[in-house]
Amino acid sequence: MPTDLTLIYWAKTRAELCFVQELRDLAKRYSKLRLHFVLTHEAAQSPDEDEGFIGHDVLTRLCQQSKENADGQAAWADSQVLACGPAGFVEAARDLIATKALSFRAEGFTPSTSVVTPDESVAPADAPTVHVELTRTGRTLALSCGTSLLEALEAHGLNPPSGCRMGVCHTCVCQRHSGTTLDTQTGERSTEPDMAVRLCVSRACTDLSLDL
Amino acid sequence: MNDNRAHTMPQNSAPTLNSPIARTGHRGLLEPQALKQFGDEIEALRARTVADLGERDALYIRRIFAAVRWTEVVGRILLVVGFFVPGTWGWATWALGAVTLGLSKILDNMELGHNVIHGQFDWMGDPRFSGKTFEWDIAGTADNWRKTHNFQHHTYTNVHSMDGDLGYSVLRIFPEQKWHPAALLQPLYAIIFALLFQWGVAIQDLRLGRLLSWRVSWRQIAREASPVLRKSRRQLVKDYIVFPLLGGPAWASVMTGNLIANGIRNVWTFTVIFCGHFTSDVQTFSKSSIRRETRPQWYLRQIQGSSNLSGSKALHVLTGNLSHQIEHHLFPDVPANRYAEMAPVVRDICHRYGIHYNTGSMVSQFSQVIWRIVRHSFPSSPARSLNQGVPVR
Repeated sequence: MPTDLTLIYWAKTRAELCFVQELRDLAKRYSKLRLHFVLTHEAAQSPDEDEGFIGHDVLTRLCQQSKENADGQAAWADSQVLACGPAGFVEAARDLIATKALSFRAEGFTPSTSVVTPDESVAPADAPTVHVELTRTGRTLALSCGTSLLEALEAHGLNPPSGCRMGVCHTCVCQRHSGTTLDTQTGERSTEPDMAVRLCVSRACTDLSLDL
Repeated sequence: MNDNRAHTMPQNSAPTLNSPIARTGHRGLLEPQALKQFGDEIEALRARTVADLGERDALYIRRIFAAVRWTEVVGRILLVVGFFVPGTWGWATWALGAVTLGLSKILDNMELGHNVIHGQFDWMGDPRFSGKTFEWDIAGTADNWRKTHNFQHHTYTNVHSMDGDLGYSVLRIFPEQKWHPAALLQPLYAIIFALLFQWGVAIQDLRLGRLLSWRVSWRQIAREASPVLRKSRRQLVKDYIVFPLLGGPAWASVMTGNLIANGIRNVWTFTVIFCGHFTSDVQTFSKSSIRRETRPQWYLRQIQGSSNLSGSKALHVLTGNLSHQIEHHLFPDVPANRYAEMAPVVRDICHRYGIHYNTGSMVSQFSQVIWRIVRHSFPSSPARSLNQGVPVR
């Protein structure tokens, strides 16, 4: 490893951290890699753990540990910073770091603001439509956001595999290459590319690309 | 993630004396208000669990995958080694090989295959554990299973003439099923069915009964059977031609070992699956009773139609966590390694809403299954109509 690297990994609880052992092994192997786990909803226990939300204090403390000369400047003044997380976290990091660091690049997980909010009070016929690309058949359809994707596809005369129509059997599962869908059972949105979507309990929130 | 719903749920909404519970048959067991609360509590438990899925679960299923592969390799090697070792030690090695291979097939079919095919690990985005494409070491195709099990059995659980698993069209285990003199011999059929269980599952979706009633032609059956026949041929060639040939002079011990291993898996899966829905206290439902069924009523039916097995951690793993049949039916696509933690919560919910939580040791539950098979080989009639609840013991 040619240069110093500090990894600060935030999570609510210890149980949510992924690849803890692998990361610790790497930190042991490379002396230039400094590793900090920061927990927001649990107390720190081991020496490489800390606690609290992202802020000036915790950043200064963790970055100074990795730099011998902290001469009044921000501890990350000559660092390239990469941040990745939910939009709120990335914005907080940008406000704290961007102007003082050598460079700042970030990636946020929250869906774009063009997302349609499905409104239960709107009749399905009045709901907005989005463009849904079906990659296997090469068709693009304008589907309503007011009904499940399965019903919307069926309304266009398509007959994708389906079973229970209540989210149980996974017969209608298909890959969503891109776009955002809403799980009507949990109210959760999902934007991650190439993930499995249950058509019978999902609605489109943005233009989509589906493996159908 | 979104576990805020979970925290707003009433944690101690225990019904009081004049409470939501009115015992007027299974559909009216809970007043609408209580039924909704009950459904909300079940869904909150699901949300809490799903929000917490992560590395622990991924690691678990990868370990099971590795265990399946390693037990298979060890089992197959022992079968060959057993041939070359002289005397009793040879027999013991061979038997250990057969049992280990049987164990591998049990793990593959139950804790790995059954659970992965449910889509329990789809969230990992790992093609090895994708419910849509997983294929397993058993005669039946995963595609047929997705239809008869994931869809029909899990959606219409214990509904007569909709859930094909009620007796598998072979056995009469509920008085609501039509009696026929041939049923007198069903204890015998049950033993044959248990020994050949993988083949019974393989042909389940062909519904060969249709041939007897002239509803379908042989040609049609042959067309529908072609994927099953292809898969069956593959399984037979693998276990009874390819591996015996690889065993060289030990071909006969490999072949018989494979036969025993398949048999062990068949009898075990039969036992576990029958314990899940055919114990004394499980309820069955008529087709008309699920018309306009709401989601909470569906949860209630899943609980009333399933029965658990209590026991050690080893039992839970070997049954593919179908020992937590109730939890599995409430949450068929939640990773099965979570059922053990969810079970006490479900049990507490059932207790508070006055719903029977059916659990017992494997010996006790399977004795009840055997009793059903024997009892209903003779004519029997339901104690009350289905809509009124508990059928005859």
